[in-house]
Amino acid sequence: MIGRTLRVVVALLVLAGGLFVGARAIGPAPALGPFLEPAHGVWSLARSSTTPARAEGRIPGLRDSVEVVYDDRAVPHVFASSEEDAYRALGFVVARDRLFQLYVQTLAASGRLTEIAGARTLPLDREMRQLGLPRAAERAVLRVGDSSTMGRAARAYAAGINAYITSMPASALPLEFRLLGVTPPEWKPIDSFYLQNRMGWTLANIANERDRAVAAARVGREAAIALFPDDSPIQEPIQPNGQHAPRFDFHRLPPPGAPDSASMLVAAAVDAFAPSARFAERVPGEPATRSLASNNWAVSSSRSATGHVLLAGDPHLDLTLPSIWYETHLVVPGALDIYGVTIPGLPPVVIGFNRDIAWTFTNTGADVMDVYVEEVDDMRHPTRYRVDGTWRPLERRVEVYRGRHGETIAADTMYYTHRGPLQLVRGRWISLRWTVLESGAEGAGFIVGSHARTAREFEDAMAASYQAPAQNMLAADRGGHIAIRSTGRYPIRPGTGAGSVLFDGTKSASDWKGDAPVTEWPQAVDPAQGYLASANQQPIDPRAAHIWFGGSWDPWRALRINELLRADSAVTVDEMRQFQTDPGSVRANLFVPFFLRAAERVAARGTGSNPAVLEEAARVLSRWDRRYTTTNTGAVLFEAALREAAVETWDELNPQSDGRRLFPSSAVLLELMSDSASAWWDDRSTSAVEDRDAILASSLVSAFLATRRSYGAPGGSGWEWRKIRHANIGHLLQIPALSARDLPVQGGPGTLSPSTGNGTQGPSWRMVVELGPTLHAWTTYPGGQSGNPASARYLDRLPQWLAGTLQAVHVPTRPSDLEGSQREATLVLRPAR
Amino acid sequence: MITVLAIVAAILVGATWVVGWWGVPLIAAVVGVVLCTRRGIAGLTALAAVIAWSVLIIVDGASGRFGALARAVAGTLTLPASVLLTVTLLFSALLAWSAAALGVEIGRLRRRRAE
Repeated sequence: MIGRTLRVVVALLVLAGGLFVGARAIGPAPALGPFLEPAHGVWSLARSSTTPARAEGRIPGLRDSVEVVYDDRAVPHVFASSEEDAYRALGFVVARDRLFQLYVQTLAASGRLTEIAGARTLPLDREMRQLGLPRAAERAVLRVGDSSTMGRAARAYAAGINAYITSMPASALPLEFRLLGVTPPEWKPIDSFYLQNRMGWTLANIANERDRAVAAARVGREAAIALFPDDSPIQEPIQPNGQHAPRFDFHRLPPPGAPDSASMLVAAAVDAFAPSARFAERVPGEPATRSLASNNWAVSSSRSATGHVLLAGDPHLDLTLPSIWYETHLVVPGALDIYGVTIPGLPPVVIGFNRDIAWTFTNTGADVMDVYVEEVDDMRHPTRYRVDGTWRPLERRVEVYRGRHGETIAADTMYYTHRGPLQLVRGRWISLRWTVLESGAEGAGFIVGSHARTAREFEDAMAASYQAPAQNMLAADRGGHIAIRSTGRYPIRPGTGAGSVLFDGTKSASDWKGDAPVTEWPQAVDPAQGYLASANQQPIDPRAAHIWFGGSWDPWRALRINELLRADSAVTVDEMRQFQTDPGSVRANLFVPFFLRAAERVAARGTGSNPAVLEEAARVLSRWDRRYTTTNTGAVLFEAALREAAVETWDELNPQSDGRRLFPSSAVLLELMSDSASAWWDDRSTSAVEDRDAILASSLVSAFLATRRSYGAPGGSGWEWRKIRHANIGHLLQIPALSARDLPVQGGPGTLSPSTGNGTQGPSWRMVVELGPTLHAWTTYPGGQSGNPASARYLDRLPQWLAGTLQAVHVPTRPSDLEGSQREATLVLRPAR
Repeated sequence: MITVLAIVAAILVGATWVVGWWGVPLIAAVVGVVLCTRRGIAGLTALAAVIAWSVLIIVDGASGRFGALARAVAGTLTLPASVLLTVTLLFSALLAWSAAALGVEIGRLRRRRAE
C-alpha cells in the first residue's frame, strides 16, 4: 500500500514537473515541450535546413506567376512579369531565408528590443527613441505616401514576407524564435522605413564634434581644433584635385592651453542623444575603433587590361551572422534586370549592377547632426519653447517600452521642437536636428537608380531623392564612363557654416538656411587620372570646397588604393580583387622611419634607459616588411609601439582623474612628427622634458618588452599576426555557438581590408564587376544566404572571404539559362486564390 | 507485449504529430486507464514514447543536416548534442511514464468502484 502511494506521489510530481517545464519557459531556457517535441519542435528544423528542389507558394496581390531559381550559390534569381511582383517575390524569398533577422532588426530599429530581451536592452531602445528614429519613420511613411515608388515597393515586399509567414510550415520556424518563445509578427511597410533610418544611425558621424568638445574642456579650444580638425592633415580627396600624390597639410600644433569647461555642454549634448558604444574611445594610434568604413574604386577603360571598365566595392560594417546583406537577382523582362545585395527588410537592391552599369557606396561621414539650446516655459514639464520672442507649442509623445509579455517596463515623455527631439542636458534643454530624421525617399532613389543606363543617369537619379546618410556613390557604365558623387543632404548653417557648435535655439536665424546644391557636392566624372577611389577620406580638397563637412577622416586606405591604382596602368580583374585584401600599409610606411631614426638618435645620445633592448627592437622593426599578412611577425611590434607612443604623447588629453580617454587620429600624430620639440611630446609624469625621439624610443622599448612578455621570442610563431588580430562575426543574438570567432584575417589598422579593435566590423561584402560587351561579376560576403544555422548555406562563403577570393556570379536573362549543376532549386510563386 | 508496444508507439507518433507534445501525456494517461490491469504498462508506455519520438527524430534527420542542427541547438544551450538528444527522449519517457502510472491508478479505482 505504501509502495503504491509512493508511486502515485512520484508519478504526480514527475508529471506536474514535466508539464511545468514543458509549458513554461524558465529563465533563458525555452518551454521544453514545444521546443523538444520532434514533429514541430526544434528537431524538425532539420527538414527545413535544405532547400527543396521544387516548391510552390502563393502571395496575395501577385499579378502573375513568378519563377524563382536558386543557383549553386543559393542566390535566388527572381523572374517576374512586373516590378511589384518582383518585390513581392523578393519579400517571400528573403523571409524564407532570413525571417528572424527581419524580426530582430526591426525591433532594434524601432526601439523595441525589450520585447524579447527585457529591461537589459532598455538603453539601446531608449537611444533609438530619444533620437526620434521611430517617429521619423512614421512621418516618412506619410510623407512618401502609399502610391510613391518606395511606398508601392514597401507594400509589395511586405505582402511577400507576410505570405511566407502565413504559409510557413511549423517545422520551418527559425531556431531563434523557438529559443525566445515568440512567433513572427505581421510585417508592415513601415518596418522598411525603420530599417532605412537605422542605417542612417549606423552611419552617422558626430564623434569628431564630441571629441573636440571634450578636448577643449581639457586643453583649450585652440589646441582642440588642431587635434580634432575639420580638414584632414593628409589630402587625397575623393574628388580628384589634379595632384599626382597626396598632399600633407601639416601645421605646428598649438601647445595645451587653458581648459574651456563650457565646451563640455556640446559633448554632453552629443552623448545624450547618442550614448552608445560607437562613440567609445579610440584605440590609441589606430583609426576609429569602429571600422564602419568602406572602399570603392573604378578604373576607366584606358587603365584596364581588357579595355573594359572595372568597378570594385567593399562596404565595411558590423559583421554579423546572418550577414547584413542578402544576394539576389531581379528580372522583369524589358523593365528591370538588377543583381546585387539587399538589406533584409528593405526592398531595393542597395549595391549591385544591371546590364549597363554597376554601383557601390562608401560612407561620406559628414556631420549632419546639429544641437540647439532651447528656452522652454517650464524646466520640469515644458509645454512651449520660445523662438524670436514667440512661444511655440512643443510636440509631446510618450514612448512606452514593453517587456516580453506586454508589460510596461518604462515610459518616457519625449518633446519635439520644429528642429527635432529635445533632451535635458546639464540643466539645459537641447534639441537635435538631423537630416536622417527628415529623410525617407532613399529607397526610391535605389529603385529608380537601378534602372539607369549610364553612370551619370545613376548619379542623377540618386541625387534626386537620396538625402541621408550621405554616401560616396561610385558608378561605372558599359560605355566606358566612371563617376562619383558624395550624394546627400548637406545643410547650409548660419555664421561660419560650421555645425560643431551649440546653436542658440531662441533665434530662427540659427536654423538651417537651406541645402547645398548638387553642383557643390564633391563629384567627378571621367577624370583625367583614369580612375576614381573613395575610402572614407575627406571627399573634397578644402581648397576647393564650399560646404562644411565636419567629419573625421581616415586617410590611410585612400592613400593605399591611390598608390596602387597610380602604379598600375593596366589593371586586371584579379588585381581589383587582390587590392581588396591588400596587406600593405601607408600608415606603417610613414611611421616606421620615425621610430627607426628615433632609436638611432637616442642611442647616439646615450640617453635611453635600455639601450640593448632598444637596439634589438629597432632591428626587429627595421626588418618588418610593413605588411599585415596572417603569418607576419613584425606588425604586432609596430602596432604596440604606435599605441604606446600615442598614449605617452596625448597624456595631456587624458588626465588620470578622468576615465574617459581621448586620442586624436593617427594622421594628427603623424602631423606632430614634423615638430620634434612640440610641448605635446613631453611626458608630464616625468621630471625631464621629453622630445619626439625620446618618446618614440621609449615607446618602442616598452612595446618590445610587452610583446615579448605576451607572445614569446621576437619573430616566433607567437608574434604571427593571425594570433593577434581576428575577425569576430557574432550571431545577431550573440550566441557563441552560432557565431564565427577568432578568424585569422589579412589586414590591419589602416589597410584596405582593415582589422581593428575587437574585429566585429570589417568588409561585409566584396564585389568586382567588369562592364564589357558581356557582363562579368564576382562577389562574396562573410556568411551565407541562409539564416538557419543548420543549413549548409549558413557559413559557406566564409572560407572565400577569409582567403580574399571571390566567386563568379550567374546573371541569367531567363530561367532556362541556369542549367544542371548551376541550378539548385526552383520556387514557383502564384497569386493567392 | 511487443504488439502493444508497437501500437502505443504508433499512436504516440500520431498524437505528437497532430497535437504536439501534449499528446504524449494525454495518450499515455488513456493507455494507463485502458490497460490498467496489465503489469508494467507505465514502463511500456515510457518505452513507446521513446520509440515514437526516436522515429520522429529519424524522420527529421533524413534531411541529412541533422548533425549540423544538433550541434547548433546543443551549442546554443551549451550542452553536448548527445545530452540534448538524451534529454529529449527522457522528457518524453518521463511524461509518458508518469501519466500512464497515474492512468493506471485511475483505471484501477474505476474498476474497484464498478465492482
